[in-house]
Amino acid sequence: MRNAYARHISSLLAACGLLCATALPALADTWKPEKNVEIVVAGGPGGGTDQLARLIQQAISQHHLLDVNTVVLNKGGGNGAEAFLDMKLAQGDAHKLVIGTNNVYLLPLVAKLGYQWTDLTPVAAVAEDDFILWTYQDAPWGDAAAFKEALASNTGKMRFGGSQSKDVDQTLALLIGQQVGSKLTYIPFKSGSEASIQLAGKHIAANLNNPAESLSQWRGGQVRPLCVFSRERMIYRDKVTAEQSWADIPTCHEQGLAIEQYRFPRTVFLPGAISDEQRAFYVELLRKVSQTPEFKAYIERSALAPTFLEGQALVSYIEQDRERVMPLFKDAGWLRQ
Amino acid sequence: MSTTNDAPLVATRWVEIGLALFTAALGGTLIYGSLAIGIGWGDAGPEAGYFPFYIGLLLSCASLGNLLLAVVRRQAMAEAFVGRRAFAQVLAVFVPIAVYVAAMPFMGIYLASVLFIGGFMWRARKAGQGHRWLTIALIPCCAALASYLIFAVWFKVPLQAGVLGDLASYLGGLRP
Amino acid sequence: MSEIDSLMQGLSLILTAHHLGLMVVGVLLGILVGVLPGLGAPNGVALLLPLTFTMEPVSAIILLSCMYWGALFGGSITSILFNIPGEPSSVATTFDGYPMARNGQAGEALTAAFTSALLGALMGVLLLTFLSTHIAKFAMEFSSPEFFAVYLLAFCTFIGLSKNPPLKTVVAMMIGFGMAAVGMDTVSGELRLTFDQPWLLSGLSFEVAVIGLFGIGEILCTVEEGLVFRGERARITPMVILRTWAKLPRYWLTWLRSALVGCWMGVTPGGPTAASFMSYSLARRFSKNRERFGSGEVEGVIAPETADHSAGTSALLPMLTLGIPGSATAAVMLGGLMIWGLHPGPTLFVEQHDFVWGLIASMYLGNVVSLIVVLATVPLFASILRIPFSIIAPIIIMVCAIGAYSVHNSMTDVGLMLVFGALGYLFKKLGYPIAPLVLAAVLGDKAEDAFRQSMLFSDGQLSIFWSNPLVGSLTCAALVMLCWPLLAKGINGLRTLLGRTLARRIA
Repeated sequence: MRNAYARHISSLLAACGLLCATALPALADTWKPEKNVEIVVAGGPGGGTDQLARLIQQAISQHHLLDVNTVVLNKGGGNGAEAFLDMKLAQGDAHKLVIGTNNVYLLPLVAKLGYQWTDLTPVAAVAEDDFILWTYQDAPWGDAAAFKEALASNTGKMRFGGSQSKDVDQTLALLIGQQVGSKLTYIPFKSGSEASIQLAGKHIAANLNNPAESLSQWRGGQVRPLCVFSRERMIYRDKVTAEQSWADIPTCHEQGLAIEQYRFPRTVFLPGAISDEQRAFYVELLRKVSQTPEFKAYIERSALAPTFLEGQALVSYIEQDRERVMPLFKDAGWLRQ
Repeated sequence: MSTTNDAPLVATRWVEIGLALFTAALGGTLIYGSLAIGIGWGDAGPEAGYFPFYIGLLLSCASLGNLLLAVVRRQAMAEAFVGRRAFAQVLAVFVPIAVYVAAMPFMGIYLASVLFIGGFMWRARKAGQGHRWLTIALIPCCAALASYLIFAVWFKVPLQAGVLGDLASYLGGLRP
Repeated sequence: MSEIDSLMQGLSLILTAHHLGLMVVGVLLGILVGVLPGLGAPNGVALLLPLTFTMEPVSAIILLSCMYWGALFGGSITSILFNIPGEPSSVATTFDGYPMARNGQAGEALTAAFTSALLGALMGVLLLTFLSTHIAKFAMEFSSPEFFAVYLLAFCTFIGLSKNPPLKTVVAMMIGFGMAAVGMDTVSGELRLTFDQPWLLSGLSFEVAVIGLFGIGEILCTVEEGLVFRGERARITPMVILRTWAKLPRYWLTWLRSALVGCWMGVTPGGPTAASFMSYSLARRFSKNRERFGSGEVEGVIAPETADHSAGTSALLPMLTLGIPGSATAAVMLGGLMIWGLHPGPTLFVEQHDFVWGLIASMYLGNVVSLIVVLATVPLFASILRIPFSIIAPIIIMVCAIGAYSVHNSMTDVGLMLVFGALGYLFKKLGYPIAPLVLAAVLGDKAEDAFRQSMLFSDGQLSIFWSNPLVGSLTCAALVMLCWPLLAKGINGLRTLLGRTLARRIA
């Protein structure tokens, strides 16, 4: 019900936006931030979300995209829930942006938090992270197909690691568990890089990390990628190690792990009750940011998938993603609704 | 640590008992909170509430032990916890801090700090310490300015400015 | 030796006026951040990060790492002078540093603290220079059970030392553990003990607790005896510094032990706070002057400071060689490295030769620069003690309040600081110890996570803590440390018994 309602409202908003944009082109740049803009990071200092936020801040100031200053604030409590609750309370304040991932719309599913993603205004998704199945360098299985076989016959002994619990990594572990028809042992760590070191030390059999999180261990010959959870191979062809580039990693479905695509978006939200004009201003701002050389260099360095979603496309992306994980969460007993 | 010629205010026993009850209540809260999230030992080790439950249990038990000791040990507990004059001095600092903290969300950090430091110095002047009026006016403002420069400007930690912030944005709005 | 050659190359790279200037700026900013409670080294480094995007990576890392050293040094200044730790890792320095300042020995305490800090840091850098690859391999051996055993060791060394009544120690420690449990639970992904209150989501931060318990609590205790600060007699002259230096060599064993503890805790990531506590309790256990600890013993300043700095320095080792940060500040720097386009990890030493050796060389130089800068600022800080109470007390309270606010940008934290202040006053008056509370609040959730991850590894079998020689010996060491007071008593009793029987035989 709520989804349908949200869809309705946002399509209405989008229609309004379209109308404004066509009928009154002058209006689109009438609104501008009047005071400093706060960029709230739904994560602690040093993490991936924090890096992206500071990069956006840097791009804005370097290219003078805003007349006012920007301030970055970390609110990483409760896997980012602190930041989103803060945004809910700031209803109507168009001088506050929050940068997060898909946690903004997945957290309320698994924890009782007192906000829904529809309480906030989606602005844009500025990039997407791929997920890769990693194993340690001299592991007995050569490719993902062999890994799947080993996993099917020996589920109890092969432990998965990842960052946090009931989050993207564990969801993907659930999906892989479905593939081999049993429940995997998943060990949550504080961060993806911690899980990666555990893998390099052969304490776990595999982990599910974004490219950037395991890059240094891959180059150092401690871990190697088995497959990427994506429809097509990654686009980066420059050699990362002596022999391989990101584009050389096979996709998981070509290796027989039938998970078509699994990614998470880097999202930007405004508080609720924001006028369409204000939202449009930030969409344009982020579009400009995403075209700066700094941002492009960052995307390439972290091997992110370049994506820019806004408006209706973003809303339906979010809804599809939610509908996909809901039954999984329900089976795992995580759902809190 | 009360001085000899200071009339006792309250016996140590009552303070001990009060604090023990408080910590026992904290323990009770921990137990209550962890019961809601499962305190068992599942197949994958302890559940989320396992440790908080036993922490709360241990805290409550130790607090009750302290309570018992406070009741039993008559001699030691009859000593004065604090003298009247000493306690008045503690209150003379604690109450202003409490007012300062309570006023902060409304007045904003800067204004509250200026008033707090100024008030403290003004009271010292009344008590006979030779602060000149100029010092009383200058030092609080300098302290607030320094914290603005260090936190808000330099390290980009915005401090809540309260009414001053509203005033600044109002004045900013007046500018053409 | 190739390391020495590389180091010389690094030195020649950084010995420019530009870089020396950056070092001084970094150290000064660091001291400022370190002195202000609440605003810690991780925040400072995170805030400077955007400034460094346009710099050369070597210059950027020099600025950031020097800020880190400065913050480590600065944290101990307020611990010693006001009993207010500017950083959680300098809590242990207050135990003897503040009594020394009250005895009018602030100069000695500060000099001893800074000097041993430098020595500790040098030990960490030496390790990084010559043994980094071996240590990196060793660090990879560590998994959750080993981490848990390390935390257990830190607890067990500290426990059983307390002179306070045991029940009160238990209460203080459990409050600390309880605080650490609030918020998101990593292993189950559930919110715990938040009672649907948004301000509890991010947990109760121990920074706020430290500011309240120590800062506000101390001021309340002080005013009871009149509206003055004690320790105004502190005078710092070059003579005091020289006299203290002349005394220091006799503590070489404490220094060596603390530096080893620090390096160990920095590499394994136990962190600087745990390192300083552990080293303080070891010093107190094995010192000849064990009776004087807590009432102003210089050894009680040397031990935590050495360990704090060697842990802080060696925390950079796993960051550079493996890409895992050994401390919160290292985590932020790691983010910086990625943004500059460097990939920390096994290949960094080969691919970014100039950067790595420039950084290592700057660590030697940066720490010496830090020592000179802080020693130069000591008279300034000591003169604060001569400012009338009615001016300095409200300013300290303001700094505490702003510090508590800036931890999470939340007014609730300021209120919480007040509650902890009142609690700190009552605790001190009634003989409850504060240190176990802080230690438990810092390590509690890490230890719990490690324990529960181990249980996932072992399907709920406790035997995992004895499953290999490394974790087995760590666990045993922890148990020995826990029972040490009993063991010591037993050994003493045995010795006297033997002595008596021998004497009887001879007679």
